[in-house]
Amino acid sequence: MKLLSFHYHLKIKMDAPVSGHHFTLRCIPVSDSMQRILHLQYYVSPKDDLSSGRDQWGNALLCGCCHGQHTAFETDLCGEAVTGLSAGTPALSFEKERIFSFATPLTGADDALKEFSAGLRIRTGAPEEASAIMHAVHDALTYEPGATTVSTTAAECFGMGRGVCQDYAHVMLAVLRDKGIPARYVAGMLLGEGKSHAWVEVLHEGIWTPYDPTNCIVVSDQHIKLSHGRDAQDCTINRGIFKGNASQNTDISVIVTESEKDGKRLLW
Amino acid sequence: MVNLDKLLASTADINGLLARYGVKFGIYKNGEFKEQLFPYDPIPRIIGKEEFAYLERGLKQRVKALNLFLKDIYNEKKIIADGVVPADFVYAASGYLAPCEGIIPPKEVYSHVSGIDLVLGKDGVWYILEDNLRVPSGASYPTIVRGLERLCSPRTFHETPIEDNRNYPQLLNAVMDYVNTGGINVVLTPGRYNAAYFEHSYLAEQMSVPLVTCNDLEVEGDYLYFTGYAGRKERVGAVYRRISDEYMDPLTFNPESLIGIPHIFDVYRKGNVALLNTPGNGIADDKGIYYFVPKMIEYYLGEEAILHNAPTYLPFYKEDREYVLANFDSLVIKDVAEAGGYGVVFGNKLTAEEKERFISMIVNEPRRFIAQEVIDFCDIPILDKDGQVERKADLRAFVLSSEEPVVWKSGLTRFSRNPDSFIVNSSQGGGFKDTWVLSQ
Repeated sequence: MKLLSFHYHLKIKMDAPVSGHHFTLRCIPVSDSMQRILHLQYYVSPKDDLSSGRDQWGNALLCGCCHGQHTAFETDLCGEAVTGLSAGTPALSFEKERIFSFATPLTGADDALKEFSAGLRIRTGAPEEASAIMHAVHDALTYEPGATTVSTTAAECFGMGRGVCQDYAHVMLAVLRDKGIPARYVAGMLLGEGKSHAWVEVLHEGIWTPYDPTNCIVVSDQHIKLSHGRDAQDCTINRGIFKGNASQNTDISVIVTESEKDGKRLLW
Repeated sequence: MVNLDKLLASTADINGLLARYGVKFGIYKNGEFKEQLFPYDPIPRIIGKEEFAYLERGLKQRVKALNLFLKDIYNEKKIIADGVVPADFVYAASGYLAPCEGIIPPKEVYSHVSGIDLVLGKDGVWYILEDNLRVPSGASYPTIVRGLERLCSPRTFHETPIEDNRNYPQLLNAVMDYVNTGGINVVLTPGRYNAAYFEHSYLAEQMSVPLVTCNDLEVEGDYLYFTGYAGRKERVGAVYRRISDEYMDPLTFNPESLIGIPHIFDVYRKGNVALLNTPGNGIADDKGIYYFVPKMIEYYLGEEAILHNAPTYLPFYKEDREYVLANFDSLVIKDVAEAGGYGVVFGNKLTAEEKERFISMIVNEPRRFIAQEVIDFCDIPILDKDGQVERKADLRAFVLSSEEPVVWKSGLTRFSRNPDSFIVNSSQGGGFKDTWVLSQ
């Protein structure tokens, strides 16, 4: 168990003024049986209107718009999270989670991935089996920023053998789903400094257990979850539409530090 | 005997008036938009009172079951858990939309306007060809033409006990009022380049509700608003949207959509607006799911299906696959991903090479296809240049659902011009007839 403090900052710069900007942000962490979110504060700017909601998977949404002309858009989020409260989160009925065993366009297995999957003699999402898949995926890929884009599929990444956290997660999902094991994509933040992170949750006996194939570790208390879904598309942190002929430059920075180990506060 | 002389003599006049009113059907061919007239044929399809009462019972039953299926699929999924419908057929179907998971629409109505396509077999049995639960079009044509028929041949309607069908807009308005969450009703059209733009404008006018495009609606906070030309802003409680699911909200569905309304889906998810029909309905009118509708009726209602499906085989099941391969030449094969008469193949019309390719497709992707017996359906008379000839026709019945489903006492009868064609979809050419339901 850890007390982490986090700071998430998203800044989009447009090279020409835009207007009629509507956006959906999926960057609000939610308390669940693994993490408890405390002192959450956020601001979004500029905005004329902001309302909160949930998507179909229960992720928190911030929906809003900005009518007037602007050339920058910013979101800032900070707070604390008590992490590692348990080893996983309880699932809904199998029938309701079954959709996560079906491949999506980003997580389909091609022949090469199917062969890779067939070589792993694994049938369930039990901890030792899911870990074996995670190790195999981790070993099959080399971490290389810039090798892939947000729309690279699991099969494309596997073919190149290179990618970033999103790709590691997609490849692991493709293997699990090829075996009919329900698994979902998780977007979140990781202890340290950097960008947003991604990992995978595997369903076994009514519990979703998180695995981080990029770092090859079972997730315990260094990760803060922001959202989950079928693949990265379901977890897009900022989805927007605006009027104007502008190209945009997105800058994300995430800082997660371990708060002072104050015994009293850890009692949460 | 109904006297049709006057009506037959007025065909050109009626078609002239329809053209003037803009009763057209737009189609895209090779990427180009073309509007064509939807030719009216004066010989009505007449359905007797008792026969229609039978259809009515069967259609209500079917639509009730389909509605329960939609609620189940996007919530509890009992029908999958109980092994009646395989999960593959749901989650791999293009009509299944994950963002609709967990939503219960206002008053639990999913399919407000259902267009059910039927044909009458030569054996005297009505068969369901397909269900259309997304944005079925066509009700406006018999509605507007009835008014013209009555003008041209008033005596016919005085002498013959025919159910008036001009109440369609009122029935639709009643459904909108029933599910309205507070605010006005509107008809949302993608614009005049849509194939059914005439219908959008006609229904809005007849219902006295604003015909709007995406630019007239805007989400603010948790609600949807309409701003009229005078600048007055009103809350919208129900949207009869004639734009398909994937274009409705660029922030939930297709991000490229310019004809959608950002965040309308979030307002809908919060229960603050009714969308007719409900997004995600495509899973229930999927060609693969069609096979399971009689089973659904048994499962949800504990009743036997009153109306029959055309005999259908799913290559997905081994037994059916063997039958399909053995009887390929006598079957019609449909690609479940296609609509509007596209992707329909008659086994006996393929060359040996095409057949071989098709069979290997079925073997490799069995879930993608269904196979049906070719129904020998009744020809009905149409008026051709040289007098009366017999042509294939189908019937699209409309079921409007509020607290209980109501079957509109008419329907769109479409026929094929081509004597050899079994395909009567308007997008493939062809014309329409009025459908008269007798009241005595």
